[in-house]
Amino acid sequence: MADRRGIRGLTPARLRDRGGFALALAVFALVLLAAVVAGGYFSASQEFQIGRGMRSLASGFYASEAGIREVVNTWDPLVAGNLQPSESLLVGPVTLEGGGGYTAKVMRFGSNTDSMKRYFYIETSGRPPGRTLGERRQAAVARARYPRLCCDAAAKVATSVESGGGSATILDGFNTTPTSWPASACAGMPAGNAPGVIVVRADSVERPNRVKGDPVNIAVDSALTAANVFDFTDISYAELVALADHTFSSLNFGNSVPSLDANGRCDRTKPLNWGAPDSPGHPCFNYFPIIHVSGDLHLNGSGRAQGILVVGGDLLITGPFDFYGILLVGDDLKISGPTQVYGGAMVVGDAVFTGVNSTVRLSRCAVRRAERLSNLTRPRILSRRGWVELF
Amino acid sequence: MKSPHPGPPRGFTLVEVLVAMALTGIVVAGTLQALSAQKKFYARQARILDARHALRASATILTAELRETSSPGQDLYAIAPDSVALRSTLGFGIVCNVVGSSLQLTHVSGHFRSEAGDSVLVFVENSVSDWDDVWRVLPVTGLSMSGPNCPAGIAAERVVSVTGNVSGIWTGAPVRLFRPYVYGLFEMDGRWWLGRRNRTAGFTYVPVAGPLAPRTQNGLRLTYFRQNGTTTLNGLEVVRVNVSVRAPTYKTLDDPDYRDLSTSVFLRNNG
Repeated sequence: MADRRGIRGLTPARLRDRGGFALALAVFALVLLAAVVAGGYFSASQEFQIGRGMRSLASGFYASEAGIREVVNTWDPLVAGNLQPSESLLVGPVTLEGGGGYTAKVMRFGSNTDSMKRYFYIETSGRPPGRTLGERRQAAVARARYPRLCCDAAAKVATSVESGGGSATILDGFNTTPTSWPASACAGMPAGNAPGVIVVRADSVERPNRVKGDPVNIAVDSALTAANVFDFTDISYAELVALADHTFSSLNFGNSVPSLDANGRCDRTKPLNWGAPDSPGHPCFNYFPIIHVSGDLHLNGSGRAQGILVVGGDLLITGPFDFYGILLVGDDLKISGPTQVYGGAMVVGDAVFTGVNSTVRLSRCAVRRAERLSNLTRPRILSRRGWVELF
Repeated sequence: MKSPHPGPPRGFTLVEVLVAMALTGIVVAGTLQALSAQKKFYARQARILDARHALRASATILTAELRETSSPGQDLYAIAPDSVALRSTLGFGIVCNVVGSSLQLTHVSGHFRSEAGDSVLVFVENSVSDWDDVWRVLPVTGLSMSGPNCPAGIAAERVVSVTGNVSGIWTGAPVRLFRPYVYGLFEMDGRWWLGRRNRTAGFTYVPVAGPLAPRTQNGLRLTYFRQNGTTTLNGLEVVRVNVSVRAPTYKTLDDPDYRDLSTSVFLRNNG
């Protein structure tokens, strides 16, 4: 009996000795199945990788395009605006919200035609989120303009200048640097005095003794009208309004709230951030917003602000309030409290001074800083064919 | 009493052999069927992949070309539902010097070679005003890969010889080298392709992507939109273009199946 059993007597010898091919067949079937699965996987994998590659390329493209827009929108006139021809500036790497990012190079190139314009070549390299490849490059040619708004006097008033009693100067054409500003802020700025006011007739000024300037206290421009007081050489009033950082229909404003963003930079998105004129070390010291108020604006309180104020209606200042920059007033300018304006003003209606110690002082430094460090000089991509995809 | 030596091994019975053969036949037939199905699957997948490649390539080429054009700048010479003639930007550079009728360029990118019909667009300011700024078209007569240095010792990366008025071209002017191309659907060897040809007389289409579906099956459809979203066939009004391409996957040669891809592109240089 034992010899007819298999090992340990468990398997019949006849079965043990039979030569079958089931195993080979099973292995073959498995190999075949594996080949089928591998083939399907390969096809799907190839398609997936192509799709992922295309998505990466698209993400890189849009990151690069976003980079150009962001470079222009976060333009720092103090840094990029002062590049010399052929000088360049590197930006980034910057990570965009949602992943991906870009690096950028800004290079200034020269124009012999017009010194009031500067041209910049902005090249960005965008990368998609993650470690995937797909970097794309783009470039744009942008043009910054350097328009001049004012000032040939401390104030230009199309109607009349009225003031109450007293002898303190209300319009001062002697060039003044704001006392709280360091000398470095005004280095290289233009100098020179000017008249205290430009009016259409000499008798438009109620108390001429309260206006001083150089070479004359009061300059007469017989062609001055309410319609042309805002005629700037390099930019129209509508274009200026279109460049406003913040717009209000009317506003009662107390004080500037200079605020910082998450990166410690001056937060230009805050509508009540009108710079930090008293704090030269603050990131908003070099921020001069263009504020457009289509109706009346009331500056009310012990406040400070700087920038370019474009007011469609009346501008009422009940100080003490100090302002540094340019005032463009579509109707009357009324100052009833102790107020110092460093810069210049242009007024379509009347300029009325009813308080004490209120003076509009010509400050070429404040004017130039407002012109150069505001949105006026932010470059715009050339309107046609300024954009190019690089390879 | 049992023999001490086992007898010779037994053979298979006829029934066993028949069963084995039948089983083997079933297995082999199944295997062949699986292989055949797999072959068809692969072939179908390959055709779908090929079709998708053709679709992606066609859409990518067309959108890249259209994106760089400026319709108010008359970069779209002629537009039709299945073709478009345009200024194709080949290269970009910045003028670093003007010597006679030659422009020395730096910051060159792209494919700066020269062929019949090539021209450059050079930005010219004219007066102080922005409103008379123009991109002046100057036909290219020659192109060199090197030349004398620009002022300040900057190496010139290309020197482009042009005909026409070079006055007023300042150092720093951006330059775009372009070639007039026509993109369209055309038939070659019984199949339809996205073709490209130089718009200058004497050039014929060469395939750049495909095969695509024939014209009767809308292999290429271009729809042009104005600013207000309505369609137009006026090349000066276009702000956006829908690009729809269709490629065959050929279930059978006589009964093709199709895959479609549509995308939309805004013209970036309209201003």
